[in-house]
Amino acid sequence: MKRMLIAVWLLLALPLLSGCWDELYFKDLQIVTLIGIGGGEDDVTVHFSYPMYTDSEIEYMTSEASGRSFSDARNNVNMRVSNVLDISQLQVLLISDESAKGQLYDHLDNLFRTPKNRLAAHVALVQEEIEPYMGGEEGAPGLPKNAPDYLNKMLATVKEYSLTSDYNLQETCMLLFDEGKDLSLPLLHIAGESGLPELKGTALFRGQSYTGEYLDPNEGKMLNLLTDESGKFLRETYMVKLGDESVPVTIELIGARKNWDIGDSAIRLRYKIRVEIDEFPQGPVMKKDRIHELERQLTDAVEADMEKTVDKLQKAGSDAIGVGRRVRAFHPRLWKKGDWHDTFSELDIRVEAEVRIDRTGILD
Amino acid sequence: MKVRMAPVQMFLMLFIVQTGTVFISFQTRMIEVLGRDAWWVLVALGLLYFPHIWLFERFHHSFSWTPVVSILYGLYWFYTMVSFTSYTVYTLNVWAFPKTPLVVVIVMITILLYAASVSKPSTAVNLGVIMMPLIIIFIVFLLFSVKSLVWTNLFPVGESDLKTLLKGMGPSQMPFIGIELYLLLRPFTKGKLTNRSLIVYSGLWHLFFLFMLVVPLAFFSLKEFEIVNHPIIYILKSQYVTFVERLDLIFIYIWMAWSIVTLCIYGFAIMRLMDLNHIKKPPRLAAFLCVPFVAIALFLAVKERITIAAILFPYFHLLFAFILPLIVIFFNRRKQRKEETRP
Amino acid sequence: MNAHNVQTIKNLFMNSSDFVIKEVEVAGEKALLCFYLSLIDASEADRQLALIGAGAQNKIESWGGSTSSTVYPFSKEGLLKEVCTGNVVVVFPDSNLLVSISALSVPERSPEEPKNEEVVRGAHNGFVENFNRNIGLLRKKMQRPDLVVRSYQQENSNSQINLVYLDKAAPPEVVAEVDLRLQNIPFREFYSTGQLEDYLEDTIFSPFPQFLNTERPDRVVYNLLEGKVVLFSDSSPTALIAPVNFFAFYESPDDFNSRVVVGSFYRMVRLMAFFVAILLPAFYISVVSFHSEILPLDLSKHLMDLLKEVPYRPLVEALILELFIELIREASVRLPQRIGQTVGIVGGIVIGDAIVSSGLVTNLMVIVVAMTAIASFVVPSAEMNMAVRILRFPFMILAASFGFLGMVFGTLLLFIHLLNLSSLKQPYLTPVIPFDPSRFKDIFFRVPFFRPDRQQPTFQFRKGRDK
Repeated sequence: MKRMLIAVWLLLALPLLSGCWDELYFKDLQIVTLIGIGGGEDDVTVHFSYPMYTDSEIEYMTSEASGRSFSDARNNVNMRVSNVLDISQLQVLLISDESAKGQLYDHLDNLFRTPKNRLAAHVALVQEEIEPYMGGEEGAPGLPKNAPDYLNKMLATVKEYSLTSDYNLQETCMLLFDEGKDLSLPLLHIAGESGLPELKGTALFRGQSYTGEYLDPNEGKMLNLLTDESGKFLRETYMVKLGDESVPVTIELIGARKNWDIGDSAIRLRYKIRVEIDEFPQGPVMKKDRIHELERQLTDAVEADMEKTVDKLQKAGSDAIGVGRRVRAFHPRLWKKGDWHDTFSELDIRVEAEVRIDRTGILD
Repeated sequence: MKVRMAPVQMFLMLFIVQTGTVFISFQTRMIEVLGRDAWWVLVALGLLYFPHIWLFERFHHSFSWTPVVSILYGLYWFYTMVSFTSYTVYTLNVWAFPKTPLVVVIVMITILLYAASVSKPSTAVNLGVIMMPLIIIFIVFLLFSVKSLVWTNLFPVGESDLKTLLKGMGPSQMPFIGIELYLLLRPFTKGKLTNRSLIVYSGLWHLFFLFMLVVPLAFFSLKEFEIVNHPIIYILKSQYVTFVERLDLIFIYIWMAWSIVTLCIYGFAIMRLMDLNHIKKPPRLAAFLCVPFVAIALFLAVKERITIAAILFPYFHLLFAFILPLIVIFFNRRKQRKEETRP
Repeated sequence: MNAHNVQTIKNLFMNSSDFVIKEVEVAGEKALLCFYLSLIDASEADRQLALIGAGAQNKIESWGGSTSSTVYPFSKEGLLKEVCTGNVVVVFPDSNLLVSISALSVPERSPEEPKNEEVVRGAHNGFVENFNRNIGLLRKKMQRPDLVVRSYQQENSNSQINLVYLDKAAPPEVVAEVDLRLQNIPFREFYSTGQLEDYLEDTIFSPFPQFLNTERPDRVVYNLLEGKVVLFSDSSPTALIAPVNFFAFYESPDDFNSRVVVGSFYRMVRLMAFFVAILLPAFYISVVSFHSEILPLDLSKHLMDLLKEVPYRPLVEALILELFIELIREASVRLPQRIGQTVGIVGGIVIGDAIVSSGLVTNLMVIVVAMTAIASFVVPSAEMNMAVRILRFPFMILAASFGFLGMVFGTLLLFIHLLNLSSLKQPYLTPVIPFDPSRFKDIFFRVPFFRPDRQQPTFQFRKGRDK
């Protein structure tokens, strides 16, 4: 028992000998919630946006610094901020499309390597300059003061409605290393009239770098359908011909089942898609023969859209669907043909969709 | 000191010792060498676990802890403890405490180990019990990642040639480390153990390590293993729950507690060796051992040296889990037979 | 002759002024009546004296014996002992006899419910400062012949320590162990049961109590039924129960009086309170000073606003508040009840509010410390409550210097200590460690009592298990 006591005293005495090396008092920190990375290789400009408290009012401040790399810029910013900038609470990471055309991982390595960093942050590409997205004085005119919160919520909403793919920092880095699937990220731009950041589409990557090609929001939805990673809602409106007139019908995805048929020269992506009618002002869906007609026309429309999306992906050489994963695992001959990106572009890939209306809402 | 324990307690001790420090790190080396073949290699090798422990069970009576054998095993376990400690400290240093001097953390661990070693034997025996709920939490949170696992990452298999497979045998031995403790712990349990309990134990062991291998293998792509060295913790880091950020931070401490319990059991084993050889005042000897313990652990706690220590392990394991028991048992049985034939 | 005797006896009692000696005549024989005026009931003594006189007059053989009186051959020691225990002694110098009549009368409380162990439902009586009354309460509750009382005389004093157990339930090795320890107590007079505890405990330098203190007869009864032994000192209402495990301190008689589901729920709440009481301030300190990244963003924004005003480090902040709460608690215990309440109000509300607005501590710290205090008061046992409150200080220091790392080390050390601990040689953490599935559920659940075919003991003495 005496030994136990000695152990307790020793353990309690240790702090007295030392002090607290790793103490990082919360008060001394400045949490950064939005980071923007711009500039090219060897000359990286990093923008920070963070909330400051002055007399219990939140004020959003921005700082920027440049350096040889992300980490260098991040260290350089300490020259002009009052508190230590702490990026462990990062919400949104923006990367300019020009920077992303280089090796994207070069910018992310520090974020990935330091254990304190948060990996659940949203990642998005932006067109042209980064400043307008950061809030503060140079921010876009329409952007509210709390730019980080705004962007964070906006990216969450965009994903919830399946308009684009959404990968957090962790998944982004994983996809950069994944041989069988390419990265795709939301692409933002400042809309002309409102002056607000807006979703432009889904940026497509080939390997480590941005191809410059992007999918529009409609194709973004199709990509979500193809990867089977849609958000909470996936809604799309199509015009269908009923007799002579053309009427809009909005469908909402319930679920889809994919069945890929991979051959040596051709790939068939088959989807069975179950939907709910969200809007059909023409009256009862269940009217005689009408439902089959609707299903047929919807099948054609969705299939055409998905084809279009796949074509675009093939053109960009970006396998954002992840066909390559399956090919790598089970079709080594096809996989070893050459660089998968090239193989993917050249392959004959067709989509076969089948839309089935499972529900019609509370109206028939 | 008379120590007695129930079979369940013994198996729990063995499980904690074998899993403890190893389970978050053995994957990286294995996957680096074997690639996607790692998982079926572990499936196959794991099947050998039962025969191994069955042989131990069959012949443990013939294994006698003579002074020479005790010293050899004592040194081996001491080495294991030291390198596990430095590995734990290094990992902590990287993940949570970059600025705290290593020596402080090592001294803290040593204090704990000493306190546990000089306690009643039952303390070390039962310390594993407090880990049980934590192990369950660990596994549950790891299961959260199931939705982001990419199962195609496990295929294709069979790409490595014989040479790679042989090379892979080294790192694949890590999960087996500690099996020789069975020879020490077994005599404390009276009565016969059924084959069923051995099968259940080796099955649990096998499942655990397979789970710990397959989850990271399916989670990360192969290229990532070149840079990710603690895949399990990294997976937990990337899990996102609403009530708290950075799950990894909490789990790294659970792992640390797990490691320390492992070390305590090794300490217990060394204390039992002293006991078996009737050393006077084991606590004093243990206190003396603390000094080289701290020094060597501090020396080893650098990335490069840890790696070397890890490479040495399979050879030690071969010696202490296979060859040495074989020799000791063989000679003892011959001696016994001679004594029997002699009138 | 008689005057000489009177003086000798008076000298024996140091001429104490409350000692009375009178010459009387009982059945024609000269006698000396000795007693402490302060200890006896005079009218009762007179009645007994008359009865004895009548008996002796009628030449009844056992004239001196009755339920309250005994005849001894005269001896100095006998005289001293009998008078000191509060008996009236009649000395017959001629026949060299001594008759002691018990007519004890000391001021006494009625067996009302102990203040610090109140229950919502259940019996509302408690022990008093008299062993015979206490054992009476027990015997009334359990009318069985195997309720055994063993008395141990203390040297230098005539007060006793009493060991009570159920012969059928208590394991003989435990009884033997207590017996041994009681006999080995060096001569001393105890004035509190706490001192007795010190002599009997396995580990004195542990913050954790190894004896359960209670003043409630019902608590004693169910512990007796579980096979434990109970110690009473002569003049204290507190009973010591042993061997106990850690979880016994978290059980309240209320559990057995409430519904099964409700009782189980509150028992689990109490066990959770143990961890909250020990770890919550430490957790807060490590989060704020080491691991702020684990806070969800919305909370951390708010926290940053709060912290901005406070000049001190979290440890100092926590210590200020914790010590302050300890002060309030100590003050309200020492003061009479009415003023005690005022202290609580002044301390809690007035100072608590002012201390935040003056910027000494943050609101969040007040919440943390208050929750901790409440969690520590949940424990039904006062000793365990103290242990828990003391323990959080080392944890706070460790957290302030190493963050979570320190907390993990502290917790491991705490567990090693708890595993080492034993109460009368029984493991302290049983039935969790060593694990016993059949009794494991009893800790977390108040198990229904509809089939009480066998009393479940707390400790098992199975062979082949390491203890």
